[in-house]
Amino acid sequence: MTTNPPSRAELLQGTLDMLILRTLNAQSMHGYGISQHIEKISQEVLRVEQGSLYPALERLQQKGWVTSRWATTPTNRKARYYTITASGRKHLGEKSAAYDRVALAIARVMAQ
Amino acid sequence: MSRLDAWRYRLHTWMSRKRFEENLDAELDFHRQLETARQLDTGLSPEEARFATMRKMGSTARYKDEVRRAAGLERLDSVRQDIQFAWRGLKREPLFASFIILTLALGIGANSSIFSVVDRLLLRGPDHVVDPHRLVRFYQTEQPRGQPEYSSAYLGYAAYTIMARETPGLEGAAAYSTTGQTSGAGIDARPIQVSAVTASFFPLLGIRPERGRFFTSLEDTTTGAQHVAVIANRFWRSVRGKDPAILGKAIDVGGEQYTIIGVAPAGFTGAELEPVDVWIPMSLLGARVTDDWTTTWTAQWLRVIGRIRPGASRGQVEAQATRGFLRANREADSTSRYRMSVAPLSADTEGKDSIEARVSRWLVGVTALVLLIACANVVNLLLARTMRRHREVAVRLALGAGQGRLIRLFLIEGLMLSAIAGVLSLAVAWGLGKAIRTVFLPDIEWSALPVDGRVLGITGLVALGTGILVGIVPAIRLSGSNLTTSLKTGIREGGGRHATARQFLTAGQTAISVVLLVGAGLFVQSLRNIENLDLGIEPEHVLAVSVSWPSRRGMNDSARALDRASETRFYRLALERVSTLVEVERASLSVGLPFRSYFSVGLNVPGWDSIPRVAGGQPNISAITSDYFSTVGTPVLRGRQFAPSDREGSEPVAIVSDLMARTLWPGRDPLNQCLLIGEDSACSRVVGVVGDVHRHALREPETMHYYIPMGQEHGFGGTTLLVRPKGSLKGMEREIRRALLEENPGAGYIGIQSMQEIIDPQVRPWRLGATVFSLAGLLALLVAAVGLYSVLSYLIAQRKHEIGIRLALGARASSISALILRSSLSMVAAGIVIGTIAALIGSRYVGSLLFDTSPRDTSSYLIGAGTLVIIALLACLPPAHRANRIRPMEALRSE
Repeated sequence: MTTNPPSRAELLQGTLDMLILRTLNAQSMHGYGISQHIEKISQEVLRVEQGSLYPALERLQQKGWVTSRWATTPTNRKARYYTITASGRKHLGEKSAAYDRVALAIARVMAQ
Repeated sequence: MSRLDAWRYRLHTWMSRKRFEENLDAELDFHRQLETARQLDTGLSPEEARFATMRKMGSTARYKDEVRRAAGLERLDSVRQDIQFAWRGLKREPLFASFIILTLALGIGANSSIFSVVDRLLLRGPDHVVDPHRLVRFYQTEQPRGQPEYSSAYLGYAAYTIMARETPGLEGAAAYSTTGQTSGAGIDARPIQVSAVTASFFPLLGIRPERGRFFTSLEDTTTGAQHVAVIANRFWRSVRGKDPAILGKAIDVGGEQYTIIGVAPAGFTGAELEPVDVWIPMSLLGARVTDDWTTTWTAQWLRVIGRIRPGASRGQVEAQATRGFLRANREADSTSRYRMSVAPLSADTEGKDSIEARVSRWLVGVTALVLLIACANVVNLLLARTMRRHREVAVRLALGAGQGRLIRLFLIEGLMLSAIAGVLSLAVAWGLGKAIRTVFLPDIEWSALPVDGRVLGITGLVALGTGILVGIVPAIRLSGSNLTTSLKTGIREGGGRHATARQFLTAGQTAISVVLLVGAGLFVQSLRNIENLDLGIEPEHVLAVSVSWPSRRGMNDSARALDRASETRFYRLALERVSTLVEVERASLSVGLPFRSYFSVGLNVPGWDSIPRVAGGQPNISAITSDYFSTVGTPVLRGRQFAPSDREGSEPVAIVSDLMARTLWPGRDPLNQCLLIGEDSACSRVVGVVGDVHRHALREPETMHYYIPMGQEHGFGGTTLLVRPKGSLKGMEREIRRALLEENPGAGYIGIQSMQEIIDPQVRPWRLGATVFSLAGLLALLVAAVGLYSVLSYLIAQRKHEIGIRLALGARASSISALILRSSLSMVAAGIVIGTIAALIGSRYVGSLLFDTSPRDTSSYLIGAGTLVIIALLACLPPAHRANRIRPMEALRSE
């Protein structure tokens, strides 16, 4: 068992799905790249556990939002690259719109 | 993405399971490598970097499990485990498994083969016919005053015209008439089935020719009918060697040349199921029937079919046709009420389901019962085995297996058994189907194999249902029981509810066996009655020989008379020739023969204004040579047979049947009475009385019959040569054929059949019923006996402990046997009572299929119940005997 540094937040499943889709929306990536990307952009606040990343990717594939294929990395290794699908983009659009509304609402409440 | 796609993805993952695992490993490995590389970049030593990575990534086994769960593999994996578990269980007890599989395979196979028969006779319709359910057959239904109504499928051309033109509820109508004719002459002559059809026939059925074309209406006109023919695919292949240039070639049909214009698709038999070789335009046959064939109502020789317009009902069509019929038919008998009725294509000439169809429909029920009894047995055996696995099951439940998982395990076991049985059953269906086709229904064009796509589908469905049934019943029984108690007490608890369930099943099996055995008894009794039926002749000893003679169409009267004389001369010579063969006991000629052809002519009898009617209608007349009665085996009751001197020009004489003598001259001596036959004004003196004979059916109203010497007949013809060999009929055929060809090398086709073969088609449905019922009864009996035996064996194994205590306390061995026998025989007795009652109720519906056998025929019931009692005793005694020999100490120590 690893212990998380106190400054890092655990991600809820739905949120993780959204973040993965958002990350893949820019470009296709392998699993490690996705976790690094999320940690880097969130400035190490959000941490993606392997134990939730790979099950999440499997789930996204089942739902048809993401596909995967094996390809060679620039450093000449074999890696599994994930790509967002059209229905994945559509789902991402819906999710981020809903998120925006909720975030804005929370911000308003907190700012009163 | 739909739920279905998700399942497909999941299934795909599961199927390529190995790749899935490899990918997962490779992916995590890649992740680990990159993470280690990153740690190295931060300046750690390789060793430290490795540990840091391990710390960060944690247990990969756990991740992998979670990915697997996300992929939905866990559930599928557990199904696989259950399948492996069930398979191992069956392999552990091969005898047990193979008995179950065999029972189910026989049960399922019997159902499949009977389905293929019913499918052919009733469901599928004739091959290639488009939308056969909208096609109907027309009947003229007549009700003479004070008599029951009867229908006939034989109509006149005038009736067809009404159906075709004045029935708006029909898209169209067609008429056809199928007759046996000859193609070729001498050695090459062969009998063919020729169907004369209206030009509307093929389009009405929706048929496309395989080659060439069908008739046009211009080729089927009364004035300009063309000699064109369409030949059957099989005829083209087997007789014409699949000649690619067949179109335009000639074919001989009944002595006339036709041009072949088309080949029908393979398996096409018209609107019926019996094979047809050649189709010709209706008008060519019509002209041979009568001159006024298109307008007369009295010549009834066609069958008429029509296609109902979508939206129109059968009732509307019947009403329209009846109106047209009544308006147009001025010849109808005013003492009768007439109407037109319709029935499905599969109906027989009286508008009812054919007896074959009715029997096979019953057989569906019979085979379903056999399968049911087999299922009951399997459930019984599975339950009994579960008893032995009781502790194991209880332990599994205690360890946390859900009830659902247990039910699934049983279901998988049941489905596995039925799937194997289903595959095996195809072999059973094939064999049984082949046997039924060749032995019982040889006149049907089967086209499809005994196991085709539809049979395969039904087999799959039946096997699936069977699997669910034999899986779910034990599962329900088990999940309802209190397993923790069973865990504590072990096998000793066994009795109680499970025993009740199994006793119930055994009673049910016994009941079904009784029903089937009684049914078998009734059908066997019917068959025996038919075989012992006194037809007035001895069909098994007589060969009927007929030689086709070229048609006399187009001859003038004198040529016709000459030709007729030469035909008679030929037959007389043939008779003499055949009579000299050493193997022949007797031979004779006859015009008009039971089960073949019958005639009636005007008859007057001094003392009667009109001949008194009997149920069979007009008396029938035959013209015969001397020795006829000793040839066919009709007993001469009084007076004499005809002598060779009774012939054309000699004193007119007659012989009457017993019924005719009793009806015309009750209480008086029929000898030397006078019959005025036909237009003769001279008396035919009665010189003898013979036994009554059947006219054309096994079951028919009583008929009067009289005979005159051959040569004295007027107005009817068509000679048959009858031969009674000294020994067996086998081999005689060739002898006779050779003798006749020597006599007349140019003779047409020589048809030789035993009288029994002529009657046989009428007997076959009963033979089919008796055979399948008997087989089903035997199978049920076997299954019930094994069921009883195994249940009792398990029961004793279960109560071993209790019996041990009883014996230890001083119970006598005989009282133990009595205890065991009482409990099992009481369920058999209950089964017999229930089965007898069910058979009594069910047999009322089978009554119309029985032949001179009461549905309450006591001997059938006694034999059915008696057989079961004997079998039950045989099955019970060995286990009961074994119970006696239980040693108390062993039994008590064993737990």
